[in-house]
Amino acid sequence: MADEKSSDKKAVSVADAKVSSSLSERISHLEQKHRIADDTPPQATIPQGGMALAGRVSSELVAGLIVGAGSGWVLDRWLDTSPLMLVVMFFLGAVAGMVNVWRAVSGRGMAAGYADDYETRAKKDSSE
Amino acid sequence: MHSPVEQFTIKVLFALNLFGYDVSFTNSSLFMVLTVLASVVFLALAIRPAALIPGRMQGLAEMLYEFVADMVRSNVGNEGRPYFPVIFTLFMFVLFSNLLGLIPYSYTTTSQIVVTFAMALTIFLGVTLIALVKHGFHFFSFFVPSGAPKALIPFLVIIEVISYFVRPVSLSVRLFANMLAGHTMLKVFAGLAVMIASAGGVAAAGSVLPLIAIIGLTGLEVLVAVLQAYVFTILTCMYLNDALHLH
Repeated sequence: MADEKSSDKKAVSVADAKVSSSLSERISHLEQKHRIADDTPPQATIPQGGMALAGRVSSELVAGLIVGAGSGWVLDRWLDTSPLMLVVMFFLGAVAGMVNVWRAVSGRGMAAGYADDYETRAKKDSSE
Repeated sequence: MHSPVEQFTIKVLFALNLFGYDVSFTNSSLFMVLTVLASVVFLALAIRPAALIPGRMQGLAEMLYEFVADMVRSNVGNEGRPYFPVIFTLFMFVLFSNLLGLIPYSYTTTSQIVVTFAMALTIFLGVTLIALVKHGFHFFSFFVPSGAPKALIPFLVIIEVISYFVRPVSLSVRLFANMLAGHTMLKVFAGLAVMIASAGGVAAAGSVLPLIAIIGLTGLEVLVAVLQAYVFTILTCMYLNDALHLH
């Protein structure tokens, strides 16, 4: 009888220890996660899922053309240079759209600049 | 036969004219009001018990909150905290209007480019203002790509400026096009089912096939509704991140 009770107690305390250890583990894990988030400068990432990426790429292409052609048309009306600006801006808009697509696909956020990619790669290479 | 795009027509519920502008209350405005009411009522009711161990509704509300909070933390960092309320409101509005639009006989406000473009333009102007206030004239260095050959820089700056102005357009077009395409597709299949059924006789049994397709498509549309709300919000976070930390 007494034996049973003590074994029961033991089981409870073991279970307690298990819970508390997993809880403290989880807390430290969460704290670490937050600390990492606080320390590192955020690197914006876009969801890399197929559908999200596909929607993103197509809309960037279309939006580039719309903005390019639209601003070209407005400039033409304003400067009376029809159709020069429409043609020029159409192609520039297409280029801008493709640049945005490349940014989306390479997962670099939206910032301008092309060199940092090589810099980080060089840093990684030299540290290895 | 109803046209598949008839569902997007704006109906004036009561006409209103203010200072020469047409500000009539339409079915679109009605559903925007309903969207706001639904999200506010949902959140208010869900967190009402404020239990230590959350129930289903409270768990759902906390999940949404933590989802957006995590998104802001990992994409913008600590400086993004003051902007969390705006981003959370934006997420809830887009999510609820996408989901409410899936209820039969309702109206999807996000299938109107005017609505999505207004939101995207507000975000664009707000983010640009934040960047200008925070960085001043240094903000314009954002358009000069680092590490590019000097001879190419004037050309690249033009492209960077254009690609900056593309942001509100691509942000709004994506949401609007997804909602428009999804709802049109559902209507096309529904119309097909009715047409086959009206053929009568044995052929009418064939209308089961488009009906099965509609079930699958509705599931897909729920996924798209949530996904597009997520993409809209995370892109807002990315633009905000660019504004706060110039590269």
